[in-house]
Amino acid sequence: MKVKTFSFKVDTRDPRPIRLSVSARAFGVEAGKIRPLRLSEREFVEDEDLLDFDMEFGDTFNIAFNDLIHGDFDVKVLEGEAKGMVLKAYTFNDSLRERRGVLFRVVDENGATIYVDNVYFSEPLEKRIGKVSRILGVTVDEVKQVLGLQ
Amino acid sequence: MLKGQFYLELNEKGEIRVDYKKYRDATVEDFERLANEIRPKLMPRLGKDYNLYLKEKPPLRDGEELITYTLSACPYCNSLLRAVIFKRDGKVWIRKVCPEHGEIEELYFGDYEMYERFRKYQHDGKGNLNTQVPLVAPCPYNCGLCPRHKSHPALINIVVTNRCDLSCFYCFFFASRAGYIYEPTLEHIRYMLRQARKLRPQPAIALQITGGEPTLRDDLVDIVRIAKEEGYTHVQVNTTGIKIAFDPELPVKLREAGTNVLYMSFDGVSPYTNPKNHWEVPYTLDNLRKAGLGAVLVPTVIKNYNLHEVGKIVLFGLKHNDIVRGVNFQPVSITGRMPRKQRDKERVTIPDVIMEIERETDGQISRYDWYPVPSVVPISRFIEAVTGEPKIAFTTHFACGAATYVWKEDGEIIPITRFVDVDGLLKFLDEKADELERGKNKYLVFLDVLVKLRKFVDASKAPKRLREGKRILRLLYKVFVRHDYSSLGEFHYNSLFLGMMHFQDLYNHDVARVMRCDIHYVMPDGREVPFCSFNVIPDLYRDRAQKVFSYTIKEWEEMTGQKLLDLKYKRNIKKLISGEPYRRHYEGIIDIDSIPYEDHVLASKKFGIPVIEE
Repeated sequence: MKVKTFSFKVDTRDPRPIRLSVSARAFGVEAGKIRPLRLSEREFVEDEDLLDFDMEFGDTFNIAFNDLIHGDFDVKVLEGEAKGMVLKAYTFNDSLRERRGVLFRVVDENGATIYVDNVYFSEPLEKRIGKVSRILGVTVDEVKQVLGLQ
Repeated sequence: MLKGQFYLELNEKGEIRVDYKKYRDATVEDFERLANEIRPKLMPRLGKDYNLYLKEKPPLRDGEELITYTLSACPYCNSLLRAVIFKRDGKVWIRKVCPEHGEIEELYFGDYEMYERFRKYQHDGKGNLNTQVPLVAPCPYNCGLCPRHKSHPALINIVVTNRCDLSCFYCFFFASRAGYIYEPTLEHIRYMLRQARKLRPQPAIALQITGGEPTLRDDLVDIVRIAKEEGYTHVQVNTTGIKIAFDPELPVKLREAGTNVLYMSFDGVSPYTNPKNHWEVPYTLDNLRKAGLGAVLVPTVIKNYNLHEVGKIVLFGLKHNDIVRGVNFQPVSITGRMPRKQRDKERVTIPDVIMEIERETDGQISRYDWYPVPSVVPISRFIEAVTGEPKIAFTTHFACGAATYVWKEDGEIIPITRFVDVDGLLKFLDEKADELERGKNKYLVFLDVLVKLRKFVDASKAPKRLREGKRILRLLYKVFVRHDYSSLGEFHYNSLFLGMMHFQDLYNHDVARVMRCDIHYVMPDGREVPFCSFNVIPDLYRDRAQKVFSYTIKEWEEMTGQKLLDLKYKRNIKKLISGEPYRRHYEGIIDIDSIPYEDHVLASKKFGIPVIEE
């Protein structure tokens, strides 16, 4: 399965100020082990990547490509391959609202989202890691370890 | 129960059509299954319904100053384009270039200074936790709502018929021009209303029943009742009010069923500017008085048509504010295709209307008395932080709407800003919401509110009723400290809400506004679509969906034994203008005796409403 995600920075003033950076990582689960996926990086191509960008960040940060073009932005497309389920981790820094943290998305082997966090409604990190680890079938410690939280 | 059978067929153009006659006795569950089946088939398709042309950045020219870039649709082929929003000559403009149809430029906001002031109040919503369609296309071709939508619904619209007893020259929506009749059954309506209530964390609580002309449905009162049963706490009926002018029982039944207010078309104070219902409105208002049902007047404002009367419309509202609760101006949304020269004659935007009201009221209602819709978000944020429960937040784009409150006393108009420091109060509540969200002790915050609230109100300048015994302060304490919202009725008593809602069209279309829209339509396939997609791209949303669930005119006429054209309204102007209510309502607003009878007749006929004398 092809894995695609994005890292981006955006700084806008209109219609409202946004100063957000998101750095994405992806982890594959194979034979009960979670490992970082090797992702290649390329430039963003509007016609090809717009929809995937919106799918990635519409339900997590309520951010769409249309928000980016309202100001200065930089997007990198990250792509790789995986066989089983994939955990995506978006580390963010919202410098205007002084909020930082990490949101998760789990996609199944067909690429369908089976778990996703939302920046406005997310539960405490420990609880989310617990949920994610149960879905992936790995231990909490393993998830924490690959995320660098341990 | 229709036992798994879907009465779907393809017409000669390959479009899906439901044999709607067979669904007359269908249940909510039947409609749910049918809607789930059809919904994916009705979504806009890339390459067929629209294209993406995102590479081309529209140019900026000498004397133009960049504000921002956005996405927009082409008025001719619906394709998604990059657009630039810029300042020129003190106004805000939008420009886009379609590779197929060339450059399109349009006025976006008629005053740059107001644009900048309004922008400061922008607050975005938190989106919705569950949505009705998956994210499969760019905005605005994925409406339903999709997961990237930023606002929850503040008002749901439901079209209950496309029949209308008028034939306004500019309308292509009504049944005889559309060529089919869309009139969902009560169970289908219940399905749609239920579907629109499913959004979380904040389902819709306000509903507008619209058409066509909804009062043409004999079961309108049942529809209101169903809306209440399904949990809508505010129900309004959008109408010309003509039927109510002649049927005093109808508003009584509507109020008893749970209707909160009538949302009534009212484009001007004279027959020349309001040929739609100028003559009937006095009788409608009298019948509403008897029923105890309030009205909001809704003028559509067109520059070369009725912009010069917006001040008089406010005065009309104030003269009758025992029953008129508000006036909600709607700067024209130019539907269909129109050459630039013609558009320039018609186009008005929110600042143009606000500044004209300022001019016509000799500055009594100034431009600075108006606030954009999202300015009130700190109030809902504060209440949400206090109660811990999600609250409706009006998080539209700042260019979508504006509002204020006014009172009239001793011939003088008093806007709310004369006695409330609105900016100070909003900033204060926002700070208190921040403190509560960061975990500060609720009681300490309340204490602060209790002590400081008075700082933002000068009761001595308030209208008499709010001034007496410092009622205005007690009222604010009740709302913000005790969360007793019943007292808001006192605030609204004798006040007139003035609103402004500028729905978009494909010329000034801005995806950033669509994504923040909080006025939605629920469609027969269960999708919930922002106003400015539903009506602005009707071929992909409104018309496509409604046509699928419609009767042919022949089917409807056979089924009901009525002839569609027989329902057309014919106006007896002589009788209407000779009645006492007519003079009483317009006296002091227009010079009634200066308008010859022939002018009345001509105005009505030119608009498309025949005149009779019997």
